[in-house]
Amino acid sequence: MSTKTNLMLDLTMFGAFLAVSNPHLTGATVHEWLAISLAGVVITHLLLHWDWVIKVGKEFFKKLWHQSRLNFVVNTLFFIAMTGSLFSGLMISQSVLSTLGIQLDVSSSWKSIHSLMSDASVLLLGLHFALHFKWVVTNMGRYVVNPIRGLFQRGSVPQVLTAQPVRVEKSK
Amino acid sequence: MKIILRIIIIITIGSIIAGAFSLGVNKSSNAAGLDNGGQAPATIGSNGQSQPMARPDGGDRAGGSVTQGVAGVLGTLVKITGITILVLAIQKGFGQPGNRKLISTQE
Repeated sequence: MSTKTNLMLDLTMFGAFLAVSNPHLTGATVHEWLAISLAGVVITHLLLHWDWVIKVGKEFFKKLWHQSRLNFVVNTLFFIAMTGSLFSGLMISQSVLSTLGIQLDVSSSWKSIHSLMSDASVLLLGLHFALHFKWVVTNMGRYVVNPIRGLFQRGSVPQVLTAQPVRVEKSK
Repeated sequence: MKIILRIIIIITIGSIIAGAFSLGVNKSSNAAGLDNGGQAPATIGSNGQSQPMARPDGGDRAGGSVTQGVAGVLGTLVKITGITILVLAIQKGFGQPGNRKLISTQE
């Protein structure tokens, strides 16, 4: 899988996460269905990084400290928080479960868990982003900023073709 | 086949986590003296009879409010930026001890 594809998938996930974490923006129905879609994208993200998960998982208890282990812990907690948020959201959902023909009585505990896990997800996304900051900045520059900058530069008049006044002094 | 197996593993782990949450909610409900195990808390109606509490609305059903939504998105971005700056500052402060052995997460 190319870095560009990874970056595009991550940016899509990030956008979806921002929309899902603010139900006022979309309304509750879109919020619920978008969350289900996000779960699918999370599974794809995990599949793309499967080798890393297995590699670090195997080495987890071998060395005392390295950043891959910190990444692993943050990613695991993030997965737990996202799963908890999605599941508790399903338990209080109105659109998704009724579409599936399931009727559940709501518990106030699920609502508390949903908001707790959503807040934890935002916090852990911040950590996840910070731990991959270099990778994100480098590849954003390479695949997003530079191509956009190139588009604007191509539109302007090339420097080679512009006439530059030159002062020539004649030697007497 | 390999990918299907991996998807099943991910979903199984997700189900175990969801099951743990469900167990926790049921236990806390039982500890609070509720016999209905995670069911709706009841309210007493005007006729004196117990009625299940209505489901929470969770926002506008038809559509969201753009102003509130954009403010929320900006708030989330500010939170993420703050956390990122904090973590990067801590990493710089500690001289990035974790970078001694880094297994690349992205290919």
